[in-house]
Amino acid sequence: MNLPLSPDRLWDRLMEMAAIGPIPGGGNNRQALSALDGEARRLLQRWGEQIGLTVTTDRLGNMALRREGRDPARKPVLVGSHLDTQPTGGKFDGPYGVLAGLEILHALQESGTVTEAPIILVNWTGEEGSRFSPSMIGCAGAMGILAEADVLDRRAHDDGERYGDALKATGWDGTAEPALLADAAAYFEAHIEQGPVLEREGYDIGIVTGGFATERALVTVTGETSHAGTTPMEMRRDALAGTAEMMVAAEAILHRIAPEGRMTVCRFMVDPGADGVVPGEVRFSLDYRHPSNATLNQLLSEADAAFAAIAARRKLSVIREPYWTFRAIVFDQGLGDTLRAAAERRGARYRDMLSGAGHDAYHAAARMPAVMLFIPCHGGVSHHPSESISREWSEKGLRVLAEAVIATANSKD
Amino acid sequence: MHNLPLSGARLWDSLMEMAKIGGTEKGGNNRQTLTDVDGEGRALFQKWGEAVGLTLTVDRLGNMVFRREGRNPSLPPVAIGSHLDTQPTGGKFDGVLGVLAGLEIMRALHEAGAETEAPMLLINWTNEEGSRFSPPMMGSGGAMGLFTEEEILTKTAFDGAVFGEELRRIGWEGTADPAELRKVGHYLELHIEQGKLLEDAGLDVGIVTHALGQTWFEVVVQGEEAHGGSPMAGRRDALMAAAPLISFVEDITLGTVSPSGEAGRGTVGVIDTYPASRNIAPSRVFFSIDMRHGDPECLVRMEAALMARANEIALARGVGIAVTRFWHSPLTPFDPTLIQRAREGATARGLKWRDIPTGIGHDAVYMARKVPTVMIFCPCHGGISHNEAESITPEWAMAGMQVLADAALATAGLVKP
Repeated sequence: MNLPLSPDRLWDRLMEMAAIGPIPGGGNNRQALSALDGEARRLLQRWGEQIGLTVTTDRLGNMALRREGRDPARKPVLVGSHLDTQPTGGKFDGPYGVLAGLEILHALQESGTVTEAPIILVNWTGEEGSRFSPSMIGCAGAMGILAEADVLDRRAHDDGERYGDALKATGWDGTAEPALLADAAAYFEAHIEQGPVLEREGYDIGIVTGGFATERALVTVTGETSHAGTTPMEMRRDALAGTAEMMVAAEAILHRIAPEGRMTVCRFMVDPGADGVVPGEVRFSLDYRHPSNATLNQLLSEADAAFAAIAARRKLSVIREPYWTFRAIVFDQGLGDTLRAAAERRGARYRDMLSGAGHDAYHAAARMPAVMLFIPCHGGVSHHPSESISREWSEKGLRVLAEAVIATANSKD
Repeated sequence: MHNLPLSGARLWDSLMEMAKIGGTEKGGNNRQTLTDVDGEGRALFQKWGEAVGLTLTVDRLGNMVFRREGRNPSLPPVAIGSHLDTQPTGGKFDGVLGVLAGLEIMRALHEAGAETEAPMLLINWTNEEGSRFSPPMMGSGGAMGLFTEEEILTKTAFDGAVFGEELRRIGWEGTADPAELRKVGHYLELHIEQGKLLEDAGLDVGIVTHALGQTWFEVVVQGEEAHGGSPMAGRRDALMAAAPLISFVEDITLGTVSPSGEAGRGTVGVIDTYPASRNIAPSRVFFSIDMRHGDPECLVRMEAALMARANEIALARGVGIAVTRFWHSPLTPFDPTLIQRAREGATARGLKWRDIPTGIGHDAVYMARKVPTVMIFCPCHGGISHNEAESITPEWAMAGMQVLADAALATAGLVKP
């Protein structure tokens, strides 16, 4: 198959899309269901209609751009991602997957190639979660993980606007049934890695075999504020000294049980946080991840036990409150093989890997065979204006994705 | 032991009256240095001092010095003092107790018609707290020559006010030379403990033997940001490098005990991480460390161990750790003779007392650089200070004042009336 894919056209569209909602440093602020998101959607609609795609929008704002197959009754193959960004996002997180999918459909159209199954390009609403929680809200609604009414009633973090109202205000309150997107043969998503592994190890492509089970929690350690000059060590209930010991213990537990997992403390707040004052309270975020649900649970229960012992010895109290939990995801083995075969044929250097972050594909995987393909990004930097990829990475990803999507759409069912 | 009829009730009444000036809703005081209410507090103190025949001089830094002549005016005077300024949310006793206990001693001397061999001084130091003009203990530090007069007079408050202008505005710019106070023969200061060692041990009074040496550090850990999903192996996480170093501050402090069995204090009070984002391991962490010890050798050992451990962690984790020493205050011993007199006074009165170091700065710590000095600590409830809830009992105040009077009058040479 020699499809006339145009990596330059893909790149130009990435740059044109990035002109909507630009921010200093070369990034984008195009948050879900903002006026700028509406503009980005119109651009995608125009591009799709120019190549004869049928554009429908469902009641959650998810956009579906359909190219008919030889057999319209066959379940479609989905390829998608998202156009919304973080408030200080980059140009590629999300748009790369959508516009690579568009380029595949464009090349099919130009060459007059007919696929057996229909192919639908999807732009999911609100993947980033920066404006409406949770992340991946549009896809979660379509896959039946969140109820439609629940999604429509969510409020924006920035201005309190209701999801349903924001849809109407931007003109993207469609009429299609969201659940239609759950009835598909396969889901493909190309995305930037958002980590440093592929670039560091010199790979073009990551075949994503699954995602980490994740639990993020807020840990509050409470002791007693006292004067650093007048309070002897043995009379202190120092929340920060206790927290430091807990962090060292949490890391040691990971190294001992599951060094392939992840442990991160991102946010750290000390009260009162003054020179010469022994801290009375510390709050910190604790994020543990592991490919296996069981191992994640073991990490968490060992950490809880260690924290409780440290707190008891120091006369502190500790509470770990999870606020974001995600079970492990295993992507479809067959689609993974399809991607590997495509990478082989295209001479791309690839490796299997797990995704550390959540994606729309996680929810899609609950209802259909799904898989993801990662391309490298410089320095693993993402959710940042300086997020960047090379044209070569963009092209390799496009070619491998195209081959796998078309092969799946043409497979015998 | 003197037999002057000191009045605990009068001391308490004066404390309560002074607390009305700049009183806060929650029962504390906001009488920051060189504000209008500081001026009012000074005026009340002047009235009280002059009523018992004391002669007031004010120096160019605003330090107020009352003098009660001795039989032998050429002897170096014995000074009692502390400060009337407070923190913005301060209490009624921090500083004020020491000044007004000194006043009560002067009142009792006056009423008894008693004389001392050496002249006696009662001092209210300007800006002990340092809350409005930093650093703290400016009046005593300036008098002892640790800061120049010009440096002090040109200090600017966060609100833009200038020290010298504020001093003039409230009418307390004097003409006396602050350096005259270096000629004081002995200095004694009663102060609340601001800790809870005394209360927890059920003691009436603490005899302060020395001020701990202090060394303060700023630490910057520089690593690299990483997404929470990235593998552990490639990370250079600044916060996970800071954690073992913060733990080490405690370990080394607990592990460094002087030959006499004295332990130190080590604290991390402030920590800032960058970027404080919900899915990013921090690339940069800043924190401060203060280490205090009563044995200079121990403080040096703690510092050396801290530096070594910081290097070890930096190497192991591929981060940069810069530890900068930004302030040091040497161990300051108080005068053995005065300490002994205070102990004897406490024992003779049947008070329960112990020797205790001070872990924080006081005017007495600067005075001790030039003048034989001692401090006496009064317990305070729960160790709470720099807080509107700061409180003491009248009995504690009386006990501290008695010990102060015993040591001061023994030193000045009380002539029985």
